[in-house]
Amino acid sequence: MPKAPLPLVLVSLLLGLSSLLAPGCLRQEGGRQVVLRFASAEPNLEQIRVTRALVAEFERQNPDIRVEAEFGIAPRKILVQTAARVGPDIFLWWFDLQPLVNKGVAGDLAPLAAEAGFDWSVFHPYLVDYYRRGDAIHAFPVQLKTYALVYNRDLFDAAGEPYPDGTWTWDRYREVARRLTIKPARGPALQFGNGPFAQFRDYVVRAHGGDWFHRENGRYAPDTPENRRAVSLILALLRESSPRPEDIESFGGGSFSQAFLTGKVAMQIAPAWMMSIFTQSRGNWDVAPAPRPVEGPARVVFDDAGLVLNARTAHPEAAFKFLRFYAEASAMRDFAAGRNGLAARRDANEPFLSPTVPGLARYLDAAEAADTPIKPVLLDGDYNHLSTIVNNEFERLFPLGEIDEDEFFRRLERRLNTPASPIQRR
Amino acid sequence: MKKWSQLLRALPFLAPNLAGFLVFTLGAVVVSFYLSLTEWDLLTPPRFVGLANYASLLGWHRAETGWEPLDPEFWQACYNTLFMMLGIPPTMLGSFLLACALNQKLAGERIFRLVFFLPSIVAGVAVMLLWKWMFNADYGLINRALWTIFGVQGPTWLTSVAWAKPALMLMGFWTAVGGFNMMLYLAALQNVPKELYEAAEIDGAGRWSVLWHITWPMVTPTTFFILTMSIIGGFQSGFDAAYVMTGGGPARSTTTISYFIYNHAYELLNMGYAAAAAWVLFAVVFVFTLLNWRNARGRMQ
Amino acid sequence: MSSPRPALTLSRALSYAALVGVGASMLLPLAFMIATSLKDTQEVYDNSGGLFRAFLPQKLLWGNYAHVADVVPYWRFYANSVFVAALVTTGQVATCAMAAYAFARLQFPGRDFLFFGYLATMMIPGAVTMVPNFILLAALPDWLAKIAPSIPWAAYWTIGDTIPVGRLVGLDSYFALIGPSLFSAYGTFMLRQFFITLPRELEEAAELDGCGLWRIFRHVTLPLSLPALATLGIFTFLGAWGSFMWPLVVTNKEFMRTLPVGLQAFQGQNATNWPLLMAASVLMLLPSVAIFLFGQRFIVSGLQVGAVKG
Repeated sequence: MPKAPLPLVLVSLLLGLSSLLAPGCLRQEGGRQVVLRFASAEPNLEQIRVTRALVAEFERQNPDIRVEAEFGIAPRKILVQTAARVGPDIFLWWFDLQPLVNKGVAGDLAPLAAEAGFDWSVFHPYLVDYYRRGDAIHAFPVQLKTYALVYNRDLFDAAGEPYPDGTWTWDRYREVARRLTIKPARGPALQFGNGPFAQFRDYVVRAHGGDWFHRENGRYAPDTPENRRAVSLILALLRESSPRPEDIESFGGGSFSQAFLTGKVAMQIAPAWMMSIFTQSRGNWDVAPAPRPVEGPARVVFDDAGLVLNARTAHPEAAFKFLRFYAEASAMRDFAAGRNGLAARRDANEPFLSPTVPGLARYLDAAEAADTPIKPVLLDGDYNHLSTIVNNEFERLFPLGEIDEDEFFRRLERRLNTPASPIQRR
Repeated sequence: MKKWSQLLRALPFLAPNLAGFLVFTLGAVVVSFYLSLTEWDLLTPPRFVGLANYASLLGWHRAETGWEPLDPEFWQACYNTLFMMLGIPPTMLGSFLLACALNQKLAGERIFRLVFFLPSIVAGVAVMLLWKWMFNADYGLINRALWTIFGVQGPTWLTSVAWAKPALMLMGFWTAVGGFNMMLYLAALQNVPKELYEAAEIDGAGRWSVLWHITWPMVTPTTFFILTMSIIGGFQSGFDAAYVMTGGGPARSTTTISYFIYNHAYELLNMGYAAAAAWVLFAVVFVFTLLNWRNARGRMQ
Repeated sequence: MSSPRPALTLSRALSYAALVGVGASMLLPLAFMIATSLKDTQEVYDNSGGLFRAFLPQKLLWGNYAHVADVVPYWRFYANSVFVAALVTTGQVATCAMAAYAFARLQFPGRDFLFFGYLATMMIPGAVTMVPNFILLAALPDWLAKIAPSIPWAAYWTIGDTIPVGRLVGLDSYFALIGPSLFSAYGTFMLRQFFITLPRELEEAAELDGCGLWRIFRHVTLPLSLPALATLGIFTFLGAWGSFMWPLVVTNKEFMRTLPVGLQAFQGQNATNWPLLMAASVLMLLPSVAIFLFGQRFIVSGLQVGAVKG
């Protein structure tokens, strides 16, 4: 214990701290500039670089504004931060928009856009509609993610399989995936026919015209023929031809999106944003249209990312300036060049294409035909909460195998219709 | 007025601590109780809901298949918490046996004590990350040892519903067995009168018989103290390990009550609901605290 | 049991074996931690060898320790942790000692009632007070802005132009990390129990010499209480060093994170790099181990006091 007298220690500590407060040493961040906080969940380094360049260009054109960009911020954190008054002024959002609307966090952009004479028709109309609630528009379309089938030519050649084309059904996909899977008796498998991705389940369900949150007479009724077909297919693919998370770790500690690049995955459905990673590799691969369901009409699924203006921002004008800058064709082209998805502007996707991977154009085809958002809009349900229920119940089905498909749908229906707390009951 | 001058003399000493106490403890307790009667997400204005939060935490309703809790996740969290508290008796027994082994005036006792104590000192995120790696299903040290030595394919530990809780309990055992409880037992053993052992020796009692019939009863007060304190701690524990190692999963199997509270407060922004759950937790802990106090009073008399 | 060190019997040999076995299993994970921290990134995924290969690194890559800050600002986390733990420890010991002195030695109205209040709150789970405290800290800048609008309470600050130091109060401030831990009911209780065992004669003599209360406290009570202060200090430091949940909820900016929160985020960054993560973990354990080795006698003595708790 210190021999120095305690008051002396405390006083010197105080002095030390207050010396930091001396002018010229401790400064308010930003000085006289308006500081805008921009948050994004994006973890991809290349993507962060692209966005930072965009921010730098914006700051050059607007010397009175400083944009402090943060990346890798979990979506829930953005809500919690806003609630705790340390929220960002603008943020990139590719999750469920409805809670932001319900809680008054997503500001209405329609009046600001009208004032600035902004033309919404530069975007795909279904994207703007996805953000529209009545007269209000709650986000700015920025990114569009469509889906296509990505395949490894070498593995197809080695197995003597013909490449996938626009005629494939999901049955065909499943069959070929099974043939392209090589598993030894013990230890990790050597090659996988199908590479899943984070939204794999939701994608297959939506592409079959299904909906986890289908309602009949005001109750959730997930046990529909479309959902049944999709779940059977998902289970078959996961059991027969897909790597487990442990397998993917063994590929070199990569994530789902990197599994394909190891050359041990023959094909997978890949959202457009994965092209940012895939096109960095020199692998021998190409893109084909996504397979069609065996029964029922084919749905073309899209996912989104929009910029949200925090209704609680202290600088709405500066924030809208930044949004508009983001939507300029030049900025969107820069984004499309990074291939972290398609640009929401229809006229900005030229740089997404690449001569070495001609199939990338399939993503643009899908963008023209897209009709089904991967996340359905739930006006009076909490999408995140309900999705968690689906995830938990599905986990019991696979990989845990505690229940079968019938039991899965029974439990799912029960859980979806059970209110859990006053907040979820509202 | 003498009283006021006394208060004036004491205040400079009291003030710094008292200020923190009034704001961060007493004030917080009062606010917390009020919060538990509201529904508040910090974004929209709070709404007074009376006891509705408590009702949906603890309530049951009649479903088609029979009675079901209104919030199965809360009951699952309670079950998980209780399940992991099953690790307390083995840990205590281990501590007791270690203390007995150490209490024989062996050479190197000090070193042993240091080594046994070390895990409880270093316990924390760093060690949790270490165990997370050791529990890795394919590459972790534990499964590799099981395979190499016994030829057994180990479970997938943290990613298995059946094994995630035992895995965390195993880590808890490693952390706690040589820690404070063992030291308490050691102190208690040193207070056991030597005459008792000598008398037993004369009677020709065996080693285990002495342990069971003399030593164990003599440390009962300590055992009771450790047990109640462990139970009190057990009800409140489990957040750090679950957050770092499993994220509360798989299928919520490692979501304890404290994780449940965290999740509602800081992920779902259900401040009122989280506060209500915290008060339910307090009610349970309170019972065991009373037991502990009664025991302590009994010991003093 | 009569002689101080009896001869080695079979049962004692068995005890030894058991103790050595247990000791080894206590140390093994920590040794594995160090071993892993020296491995190559891919080596840990090599399942081909036996157990020794699984345990021991093929080559000692001490360089891993130089790379702990490649992915995250590790040394900033470290500095934050040291700063927070040091201030919490000195601050808490100081406020607790002062309050304990008042409870132990001074007469004032409502003393016993207040002390009972301290005792009673000790059993309240942290979960109860955490939510309101979080809300308080979140709202604090706004409230203060209403009282003293001239000070930009909500602003973030930097030293010079480069080193961010967060806000003055509220979330993302050192105040949030340190403030609520500057007092403790348990510490006050523990020190008060110690102070009442001290002989009063010395203090009375000092009072006769005309010493004020503060001087008696400083020059008589505190020097006599060094073991108790050290015990409280060590436990407070270990607690502050390992504290996870509170720093997790009150920090948003990366540069405000403490080591446990930072390390937990480390594993989430892309793929987990186990050797680097273990190197970072080993470095995190060093202060705890040092404090433990340096202060073990205080830890043991603190247990006797701790046993009174409850």
